[in-house]
Amino acid sequence: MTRQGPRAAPTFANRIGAAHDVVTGIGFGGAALCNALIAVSFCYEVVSRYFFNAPTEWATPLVTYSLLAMIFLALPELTRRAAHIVINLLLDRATGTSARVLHAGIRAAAATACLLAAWFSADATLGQFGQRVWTNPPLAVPKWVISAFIPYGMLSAGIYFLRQLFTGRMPSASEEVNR
Amino acid sequence: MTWWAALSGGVSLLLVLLFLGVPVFVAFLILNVASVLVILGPSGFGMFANSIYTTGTNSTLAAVPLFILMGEILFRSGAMEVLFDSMDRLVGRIRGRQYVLCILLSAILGALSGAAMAVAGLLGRSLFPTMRRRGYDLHLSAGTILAGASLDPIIPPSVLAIIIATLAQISTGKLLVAGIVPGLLLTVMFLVYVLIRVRINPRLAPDIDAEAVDRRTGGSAFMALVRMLPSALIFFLVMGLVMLGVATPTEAAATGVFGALVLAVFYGGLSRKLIADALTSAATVAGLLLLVMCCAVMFSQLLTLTGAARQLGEFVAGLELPAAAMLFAMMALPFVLFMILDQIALMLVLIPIYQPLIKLYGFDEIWFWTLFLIVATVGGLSPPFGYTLFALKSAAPDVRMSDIYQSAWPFVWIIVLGMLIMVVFPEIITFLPGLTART
Repeated sequence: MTRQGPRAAPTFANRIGAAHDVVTGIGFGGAALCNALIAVSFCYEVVSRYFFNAPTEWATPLVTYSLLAMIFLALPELTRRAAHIVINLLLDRATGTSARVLHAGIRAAAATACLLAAWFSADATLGQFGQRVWTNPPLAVPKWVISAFIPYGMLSAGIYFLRQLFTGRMPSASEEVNR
Repeated sequence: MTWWAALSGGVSLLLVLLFLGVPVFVAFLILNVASVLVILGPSGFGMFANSIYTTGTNSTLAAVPLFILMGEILFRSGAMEVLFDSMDRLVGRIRGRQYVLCILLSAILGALSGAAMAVAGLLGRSLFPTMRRRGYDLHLSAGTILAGASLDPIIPPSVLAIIIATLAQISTGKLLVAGIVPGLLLTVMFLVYVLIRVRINPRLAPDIDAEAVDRRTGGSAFMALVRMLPSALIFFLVMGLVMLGVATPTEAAATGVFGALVLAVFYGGLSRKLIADALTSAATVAGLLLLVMCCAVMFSQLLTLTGAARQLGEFVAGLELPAAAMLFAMMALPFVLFMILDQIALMLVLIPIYQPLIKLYGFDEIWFWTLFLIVATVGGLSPPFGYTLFALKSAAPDVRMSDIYQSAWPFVWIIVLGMLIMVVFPEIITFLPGLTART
């Protein structure tokens, strides 16, 4: 048995990081629920159309909104786990300093790309909000409500790449979905 | 910017990023973000966001998480164990029965899920140790598992087929249905190959008497068939409804999920944990795949915007190659590239380039993209970097990678031979899609 010393008080950055992780976890739960919603909606649609001759108008648009939400609610958690599709030919062979430099470079480039993507998509989303753009009927909703998931996912993923870059915690090859 | 500079520059940068180990979705994102900043300016922000939005809200792609969810539920429901035991009974007492069992099981699993890696992992953990323990040849055992698993993306439901159909803008239902006969043909070819090998060299399989009969697999063949019927229901709920025109592929995927849940209740495996695990696992896998698509579609749009895809088509047309030579080139290129590159990433690059060429040469789209799907599947099986090879390696870590490579090659060439047959007799692919009532 090992004795544990007194724990250091969490820093402000640690608390922010922990809050970020909690939001990400909730978002990922939302992604799983979106998946369930897609399945239930289309099952209902098939039954309603073929057994009661009453096709729904809401099933397809609801499924499309849920699909987009699922993808970008899942993105931060995938990035936190470093569970991305990666070709690790070079990463597997790199060792020591070269591996650290390569991982850091990839994280920096990924963070930059994700944060820029968040900016572009947030700009478009804000434009939709300002111009009061709605999605098409029959399930019309303000378009920004749906497209806001894109900047959320990109921003959060960008922050995770930055956290991995600055904390120096680089995922091992086995953690990544690689080939 | 000239079309060839845009095309070669874009593709080269993408390849460099991928080989450096940049996550696939990030590699596409870097290209797109750079294009917006350098070529399009702030007016490109909307195009960037819209390409992601349009892809992410494509209802056809909803079939991807649903098929993955269906497979996740089935793998956890207890249905697989029943299938294993029933097939074990049905194969009977023939020399090399485990090879036969492995290939047939893979074909059935292919009709219930569409993930080669999952099946390679499943068979690698369950059947492979038994085969080795009973004295089956290591290479042929590993080869049958790899070959069997490679059937899964061909036999519907297939996630890869949905992605190809969406990108190539063809009927998803027809492309799914088109995979049935080629999948069965390859199954037969694999069976013939292993039985001939065992006949020529009986040492590849132990004597039938040496094979212990499992008590669980006893009983009549009829009862074994009856035990398999509930799983057949799933295939009907998915492909039957599509072929009868009752449901679109996405709706059929949803009914497949429902059927998988019913099956889990039937086998007593349904629990909150099963549902939660299946949902989170499906969200993870589908999220990974669809994220790449969302980020990559703009790359295809940029190829169109710069005129690169169209002008490449005109350039190739100017070469006046015979159709057979063009088909060979269009299949040989991905055959090589899929060995080293991610399937989805390469599809996203090649499909928009291939589309004008297919129209130019008048190839039947369903036939061509089915061949392309099979080539993509071979990519997962062919050394040195096929996904399926690594799935088997992780399931059987004590087997050397060189042995797994050696096991895979004969089956790669069998699939190539199968493709040649499908080229000569295109009806193998086009017959069933021609019968489907609705797309």
